Amino acid sequence: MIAAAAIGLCLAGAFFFLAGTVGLLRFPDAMSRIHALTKADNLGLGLIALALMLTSQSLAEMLKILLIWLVALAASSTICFLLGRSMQRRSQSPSGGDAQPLVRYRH
Amino acid sequence: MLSLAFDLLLAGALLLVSWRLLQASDLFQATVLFISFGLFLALAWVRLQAPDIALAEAAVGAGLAGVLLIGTFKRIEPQSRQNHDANDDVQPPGACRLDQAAACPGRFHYGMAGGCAGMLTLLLALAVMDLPRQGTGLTEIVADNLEMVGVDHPVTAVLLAFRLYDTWLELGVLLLALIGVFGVRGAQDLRSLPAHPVDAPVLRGLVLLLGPLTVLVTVHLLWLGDHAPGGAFQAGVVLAAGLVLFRLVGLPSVDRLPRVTLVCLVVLGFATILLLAVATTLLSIYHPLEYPPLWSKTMILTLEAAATVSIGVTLAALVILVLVVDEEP
Amino acid sequence: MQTFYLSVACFLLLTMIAGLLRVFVGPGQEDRLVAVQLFGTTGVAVLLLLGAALDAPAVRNTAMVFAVLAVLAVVAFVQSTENATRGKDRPSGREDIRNRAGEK
Repeated sequence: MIAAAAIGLCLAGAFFFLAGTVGLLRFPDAMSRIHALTKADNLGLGLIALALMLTSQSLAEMLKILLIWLVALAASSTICFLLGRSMQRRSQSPSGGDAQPLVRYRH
Repeated sequence: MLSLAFDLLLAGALLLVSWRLLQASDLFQATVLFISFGLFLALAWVRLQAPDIALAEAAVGAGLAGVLLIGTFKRIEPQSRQNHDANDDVQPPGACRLDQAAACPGRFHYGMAGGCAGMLTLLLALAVMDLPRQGTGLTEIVADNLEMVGVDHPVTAVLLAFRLYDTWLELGVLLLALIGVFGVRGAQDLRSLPAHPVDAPVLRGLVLLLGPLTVLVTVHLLWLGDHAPGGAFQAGVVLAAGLVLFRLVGLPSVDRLPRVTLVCLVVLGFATILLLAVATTLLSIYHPLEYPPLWSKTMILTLEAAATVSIGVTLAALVILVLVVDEEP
Repeated sequence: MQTFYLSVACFLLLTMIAGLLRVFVGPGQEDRLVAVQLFGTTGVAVLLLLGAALDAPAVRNTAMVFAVLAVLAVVAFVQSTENATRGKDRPSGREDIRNRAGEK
């Protein structure tokens, strides 16, 4: 019963990771690609963490997996906020923006 | 079967990333690829059943190397962009590759570096060929003598008892590196550099959450060292990463330490082992750097704690000194 | 169960390799960084799964280190970008945004 639940959660998690990667590759601009990171992947990690918590052997192990998920959740949402803000500022600033070429050397 | 598939995928990913990394003409792409290379490499170490190295790779690759590379990229970026705008035909130095014209200024260095790398590969290949076909190396000897040391993890026993000499000299190398950087940059630079407090409360909140967590992970890894993968180096790198994070958002870090405290913390690891060496040499009951089996667990934890603090502070000071150059007016 | 975990780990590794394409094509610096952060999250999941599949509890510590230190590169990126622009053409980021809001 628990094993079946863990398998189901794992498969759902894998699906969300797939959705995140498809979003990363297919979304048209960087601002929308951020969604792939904040939403799909964190949910995927959460589902997989939940599955592993169900099959874990001890309470300490369970709590550690929970802590890892919470830290990853806090970290990646902050990262996305920072990246989004950085993008916004660059596109507003008169000197920069994504339209400019990156550092690119000739061969 | 399945694990073979995983290994093949991982090896393929490593080769793909390293090939693209060398091919990339965009330096930022190369930087980002190097960070992901570290991630795949940590997975590979896990698969090779070397969890100690996987931990170190995760801490160095995901933490410190990324900061160093991105900081360096940001330092050279505006400059090279100006060059690019000013004259499209001028080739910035460093963009030369071996397959280009002989007039290229960096060509000789690339040849030298290639030659050295080739020699090293050859030496390594010879060393691997020289290994005995059968047998487990020193694993059995270490396992047999493990109870003499009083710790359960063989890697820790080797690093802090059987080959303490090596660890000692490695701490010395780290110390020399910091002295070298101080010689170029000036020790007071670390403290006089302006700290820009961030204007993002979200980031500040995250760092205030992660700060205690890095300390917790540091102590956890240090404590784990005597019976499981972990130990001084991994704990020290995590500590250094936490200190660098604090400095990045303008919170107090190693740069606020008084000069004497900084020096004391930096030499702590090396000095503790030096004291042990002097004491054991003078006592003459023991060989130099040998300690009584009765105390060995306490000794090892003390040495590891001292080494962790030194490694953490030294690495953090090194990274911060490299990072903050561009903040000068 | 362990075989199942390993197969999920394989699948996640495949999605990571597919995600590398975004690092290759970019185009912006943030695009590439977003992709690497995505690898970070997926990597934590793969490590957790490997820890369960290989029955190696030490792998969980590696996942923990990854989760805690993943922010470092992006914070360095954002901070140095801000410091560079702050030093170059504006007194401070916040003031600049306020000015622009006034113009509109």
